[in-house]
Amino acid sequence: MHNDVTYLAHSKSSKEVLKTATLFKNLSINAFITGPAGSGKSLLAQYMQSDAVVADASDIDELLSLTERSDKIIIENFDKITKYSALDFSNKKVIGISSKKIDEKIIDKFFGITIELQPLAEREEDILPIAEKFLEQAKEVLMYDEEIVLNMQKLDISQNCHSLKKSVFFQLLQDEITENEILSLMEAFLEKRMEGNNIYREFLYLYERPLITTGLKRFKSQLKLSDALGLNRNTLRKKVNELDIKVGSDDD
Amino acid sequence: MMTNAQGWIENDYNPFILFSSAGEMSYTNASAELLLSYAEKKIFHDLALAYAPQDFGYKTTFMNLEYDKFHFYAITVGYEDEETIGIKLYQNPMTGPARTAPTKISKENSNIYVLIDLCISLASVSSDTLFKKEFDPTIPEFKLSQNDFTKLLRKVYDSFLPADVITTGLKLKIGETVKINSKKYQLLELSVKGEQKDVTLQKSAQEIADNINIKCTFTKNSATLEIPIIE
Repeated sequence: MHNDVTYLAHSKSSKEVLKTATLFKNLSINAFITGPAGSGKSLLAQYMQSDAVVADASDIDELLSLTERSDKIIIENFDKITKYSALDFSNKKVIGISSKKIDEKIIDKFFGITIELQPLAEREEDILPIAEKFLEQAKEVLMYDEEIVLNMQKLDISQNCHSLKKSVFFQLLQDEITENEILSLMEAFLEKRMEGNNIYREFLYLYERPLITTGLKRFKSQLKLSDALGLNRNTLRKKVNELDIKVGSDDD
Repeated sequence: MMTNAQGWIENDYNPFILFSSAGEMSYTNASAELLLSYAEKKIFHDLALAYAPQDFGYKTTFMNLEYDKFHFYAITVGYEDEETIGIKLYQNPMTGPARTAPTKISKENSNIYVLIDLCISLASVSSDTLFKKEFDPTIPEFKLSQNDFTKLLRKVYDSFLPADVITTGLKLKIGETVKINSKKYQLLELSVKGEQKDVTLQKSAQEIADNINIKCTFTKNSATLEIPIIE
């Protein structure tokens, strides 16, 4: 059971969604929730009907059996249903979820309302509060006690909440990652790529690129950086070009 | 013979009016009474004179007539003496108050204000439209299928979007009733007014409305739902 589901709503459209969802709780209506992947469809469904059973439409037999036995159902992947005529929602309260478009006649047949969730890019006010919620979760999961300020530039909303959550967890991991963990990550990464006859050169950028970009940020010039790295100035310049690293000003 | 037919005329789905030679109404059936609350009697008197048969008898003429929400496809005008002339108007069955057939009544007790608020919130998720409400605040809960009603109202709102302002009105219709399964019910009028309207959603809205005993009428800038208050 998910009795403590909270739905964060700071943008205008999310506030209207939350209002709809709250009114829905006391009504006998079936709702269809649609929106891009990671826009919060499942969370909203849980908020609207926290005591419902959740079924995945990919398995039609399981879905039909659950539909028969339960009064309140959340159906994930509603677009994957192959036989809509087999469904009977009489005297049930159903929420269907899908990120894919479904024929309007089918929607009309089963659902009283359709809630369309917007991508995060179109509701900017929601991004930071959701990211902070993910940060709380990340701290709990990773047992992290220190204060951390999220780097907004590195929050990824390309896949909405999916990528946002990943980027928040990643920021936290970065903050306390150890040398051994870096090496272990590198090993895991390289293990899948051990093919060819030029592997050394091919993956040298994994070490060189972060070293040079971080060095340039710190020392501001290739001249100072080459000294710090103990590299010939021309060698550094060659590597900067090869790695296609953007340099703010060429003061070499 | 005429005496026996009186009840049939009175309860005919099509309006029937008898005028005296002075142009006064001497008889109107129930359907005509309703029509006359939307259109002037003079219109029908003029119509009767214009389409009267040349000699005593009856003449049917096919024509499309529209008075507010009433649509007709033909009229019969007749007279058998110098004193009276009668007119019968044939209602288009698609738009008339065709709600006398036995029909399913929802068992759900519903609060119409909550359902309207829900549909307004839904419509506001992806639009900046200002929704104005002009509500009679005294409407009690009554039996209405929530799933079908929200589906219907959502389509009505969608047909007005995008818009700067959409005004929703809600009031009791005094004196008008509807018969469903041989019981009379008072009517509630929900009106939605906007600047323009997408007519493509009209048909599906009409179909949903028919299923839940709601009469749905569209004009250029408005939609009106007549909802029976089933307690």
